[in-house]
Amino acid sequence: MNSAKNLRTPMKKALGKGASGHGTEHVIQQRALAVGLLVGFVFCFSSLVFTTNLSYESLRVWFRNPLNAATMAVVIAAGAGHFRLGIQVVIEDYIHKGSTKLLLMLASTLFAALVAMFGIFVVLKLYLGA
Amino acid sequence: MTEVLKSQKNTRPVSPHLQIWRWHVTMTSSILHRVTGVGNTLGMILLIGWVCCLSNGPEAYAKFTALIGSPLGLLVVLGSALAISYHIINGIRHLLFNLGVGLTKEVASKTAWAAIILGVLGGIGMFVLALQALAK
Repeated sequence: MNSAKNLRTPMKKALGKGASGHGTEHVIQQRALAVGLLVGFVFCFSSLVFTTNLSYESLRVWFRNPLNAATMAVVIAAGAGHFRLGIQVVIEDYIHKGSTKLLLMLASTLFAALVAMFGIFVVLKLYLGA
Repeated sequence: MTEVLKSQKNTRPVSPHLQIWRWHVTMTSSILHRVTGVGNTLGMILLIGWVCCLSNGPEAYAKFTALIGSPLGLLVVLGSALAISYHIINGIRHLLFNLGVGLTKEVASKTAWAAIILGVLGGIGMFVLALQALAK
């Protein structure tokens, strides 16, 4: 840290807050979810195309494996979290009208929650073989 | 540019808009990352539909495979594979940027081209792998 070039006051540095007072956690969350999604997706995709023939029967067997089912649940949940934050950035970049922005944010958040919840329920159902 | 400034109430400098920028590959890689990200969000519906139909029994799954096996369905699947592949590869490029790697203009331009080319090849590869699995 070069203090001569840094215009932030020591208090500002200690608080670690930017102009809006929050948002840093979104940047970190977006990247953490990206890494989880990357590992989970590569695992699920390779496992599916190399160990199954994508038929109904072979896929039902694939989902009975706890590691497969858990990783698929992670892909769905991390995917929902990642796109929720990504869509927020897109909305904030293009929509400047407060009410429209609020509605779109609500819609994208509800959509992400629905995708995550519904996806996990279905994967659990497949794992249990119901 | 002056018209843009005059149209503003204050003649303060404004950020250049898309049509003012000269085209460069890093701009394309950035736009593609956003477009494929939104595409993948819609692709989640496909993934949820797939697991949902699978959990609803053989008849429901047969309906789903008939839908994505149609010419339009295959096009959507190929498009989705390309979007996922590009977003993953360019996403790794972004993660490297976050670590401070490859931030010079020259390297960023080269890796932008690499991400676009590898993204397309990876997407086609994913599509072929899925077809090969089906043929087993």
